[in-house]
Amino acid sequence: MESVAPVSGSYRDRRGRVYERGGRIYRSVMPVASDDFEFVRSTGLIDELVSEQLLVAEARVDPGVLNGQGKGASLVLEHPRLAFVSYPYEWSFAALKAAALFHLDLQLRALGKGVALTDASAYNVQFNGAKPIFIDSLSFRRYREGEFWYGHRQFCEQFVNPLLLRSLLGVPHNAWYRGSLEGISAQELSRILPWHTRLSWNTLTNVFVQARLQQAASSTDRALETSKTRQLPKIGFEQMLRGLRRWISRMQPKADSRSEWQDYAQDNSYSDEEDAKKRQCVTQFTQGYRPQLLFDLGCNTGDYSALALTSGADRVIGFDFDHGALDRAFERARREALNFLPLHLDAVNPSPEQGWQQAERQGLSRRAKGDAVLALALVHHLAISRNVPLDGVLDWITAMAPRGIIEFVPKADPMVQQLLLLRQDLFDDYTRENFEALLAARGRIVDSHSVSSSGRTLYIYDRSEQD
Amino acid sequence: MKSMPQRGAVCTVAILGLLISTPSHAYLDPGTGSIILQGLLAGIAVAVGVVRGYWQQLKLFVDKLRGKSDNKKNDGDSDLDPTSDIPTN
Repeated sequence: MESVAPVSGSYRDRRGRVYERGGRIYRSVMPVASDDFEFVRSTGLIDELVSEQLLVAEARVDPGVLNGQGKGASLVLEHPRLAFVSYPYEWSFAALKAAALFHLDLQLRALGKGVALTDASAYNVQFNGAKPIFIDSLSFRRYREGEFWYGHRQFCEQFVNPLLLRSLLGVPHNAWYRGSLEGISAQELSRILPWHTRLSWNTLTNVFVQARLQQAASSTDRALETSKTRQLPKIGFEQMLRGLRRWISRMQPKADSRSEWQDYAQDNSYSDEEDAKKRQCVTQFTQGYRPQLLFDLGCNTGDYSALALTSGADRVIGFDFDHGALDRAFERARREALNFLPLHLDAVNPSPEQGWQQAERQGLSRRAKGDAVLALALVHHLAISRNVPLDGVLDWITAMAPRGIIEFVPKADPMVQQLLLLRQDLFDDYTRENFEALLAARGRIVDSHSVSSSGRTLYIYDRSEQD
Repeated sequence: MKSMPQRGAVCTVAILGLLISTPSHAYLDPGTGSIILQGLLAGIAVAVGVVRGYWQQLKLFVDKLRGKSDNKKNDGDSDLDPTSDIPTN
């Protein structure tokens, strides 16, 4: 019998739980949620959102599929499995902003049908390319006239405050968010924002006033009193959502936070001829293998990702270290409607297993199982700039997918020379011969293409035969 | 300005709303700061609504004095106006 395991990130909401069995995804709905569940579906909202691919699809299945888990559930649903799960601390500013606007639009649309959301968790938003999709169909419940927006604080912590960090201070949200999975609190943010940011009504109320009210000793009594005696009229609720929407839609990364790599596609040292050879190699590779899920390590603004998508790849997840390049890549994916999601990654410090019991949010290596991988102009950055032994670099790349293209950039190349300019060359193992031997030990080298006069070479490996 | 029957309806809804208890449905802690803030913002919206109501009356009065037709659009009451349906509870 196949084992059924609860998905570790789904423990919070006692109205239901998500389970995995044999790679398929199920959700139990407990009796406490039944009324809301039926009401929300009677409004037609769920069908509409699913048909527009704004919400994961659902189908009622025999509860026996859970093998006795989810005891007492009134019904069990099956959802299609997502191709790749990403977390807000891996998203670019542009992606987090898109997710925030998506969440607000979803709430406004739901409210129009008398439906509210139980929370405002950013983890409930995932992406198909640059298009957000909501994954928690149990978050919807009946709206009660006059109720407060209980998810407001969470929305601020998980969306607004991380966006403000970059837009007001020029600091990317990723490292802080990864260390603080529930987001950035108003109290902490209010301590580091400059005084003049109080002049914005939105920042004043949502950050400074909220932080002050949260801290005040009398807050608990006052909040209780407020929630008992006051109402938030529906139109006021909607206005709050619209106000936040207007505010967030105007947010941009702070102007002086331009990054080193965002203009790389224009400013690099390659010639057009080298670029044409690389493009030809990527095209042939993706046409040959037609990977469903391809990882592009060091994707920059997504040139090769876009090329792979037009030549046979179904979906590309890109990774890059540079925030400016990621924002551009995300905007490009949105503009060109590409099934391409660029995510933040520091290759020597990828997302770990973390959260409750170190299992709530999965590490990258557990999620990064693709059909193919591109690692173009990447190895020298890890092996030389970051001192990672070459065998470790190749272990890491080839573990991501059974096939791929890896570029080797020899020491004679001007880019590597630049990396070595101010440091002692301790990298005796960084040679073409060693690279080839190490790669051949991990998979068959199918082909290699020299793409530059300096000796840059693309190696195509295939370890699927060894599996 | 709302007509009196409309105001009455809005108030009735508001009173009914008060009678139906609104338990905290969320498994989520909404945060004391957020709740008080929303209470304040709702209060501000009510105050703005009242002021805007008087302002509309004044405008109407001035328009009448100047002999303008009051047949034109009632511009304070758009669907998106946050203050147009605020119940004075």
